[in-house]
Amino acid sequence: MRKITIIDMAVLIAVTIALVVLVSKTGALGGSVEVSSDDVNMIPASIVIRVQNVRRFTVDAFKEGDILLSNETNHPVGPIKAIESGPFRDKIEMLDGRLVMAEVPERYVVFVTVETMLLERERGYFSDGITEIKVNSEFKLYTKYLATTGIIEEIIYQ
Amino acid sequence: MNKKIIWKLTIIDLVIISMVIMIMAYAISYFSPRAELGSSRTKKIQYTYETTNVSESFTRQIKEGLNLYNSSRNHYVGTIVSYEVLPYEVRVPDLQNGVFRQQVLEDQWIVRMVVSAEAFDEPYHFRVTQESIKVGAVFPIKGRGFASYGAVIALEEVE
Repeated sequence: MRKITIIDMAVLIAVTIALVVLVSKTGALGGSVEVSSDDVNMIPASIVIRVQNVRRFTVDAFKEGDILLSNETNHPVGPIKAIESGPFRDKIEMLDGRLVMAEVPERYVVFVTVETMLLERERGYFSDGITEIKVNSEFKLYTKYLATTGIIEEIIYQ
Repeated sequence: MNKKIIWKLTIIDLVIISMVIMIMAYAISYFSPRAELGSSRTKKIQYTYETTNVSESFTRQIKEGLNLYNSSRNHYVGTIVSYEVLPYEVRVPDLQNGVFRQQVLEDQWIVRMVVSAEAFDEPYHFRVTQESIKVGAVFPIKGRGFASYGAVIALEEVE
């Protein structure tokens, strides 16, 4: 039988480290190594996502009740509870140097409210324990009928 | 010099192989959408694909009944049922009056194609071969004699 060499040991250690990192990153053990189970808490919450500078067809493709998913994790965040839309406004620098906000023709801003359960950890809130939710962060989302990108506008804890 | 290397399998090799298999299996199951497993119903869908701005010669290549393919992955994405050619408009700021105006760009066009396809009806996707068809999905297309970028702007289930 072949003896255990330094190469065998190195590969074994590398595989073990990869396994530990994968399990801790995906939350399979309920959190990162330094967080005890006492620090973990599930909170019902609503997330408001702002999708802006989009055309009418994007606004119309949002439907209440559709499940919204994160494009990054492919996990459901929750059902869409409310949709509000309005004209999108952007800034124009005038010839005299003044900045004015003007309505952009055929462009809209949509506020989508999604109900979810957030896993509270020391370093943040995670929808379904997986998808990190932070106000002001970019959020690539999709439903069965739509794919787009928004900004997390607000987290409403219930 | 020509030593024949015979690799004997040790218990350590077996442990490593099993751990690698376990990691791969876990990673695959983690990164696959959970709810989609076991779903394979098909449904006929029609979607509207809008190209980016194209030339007039491009528009002459479009024909009803032509098959469309994803031009980077080469898979089928549907068949053109109908199409319309529209002028390409851009928004420009009016710096004098502080408003945005729509302006038509000369000799530039967009093409809206209504595309029909048989799609796998999954809980969170309609897939035509490998393409997930949704409003806002951006993918490159090609047909016989043309290629373009664009996006899906409408989607409906036909039956």
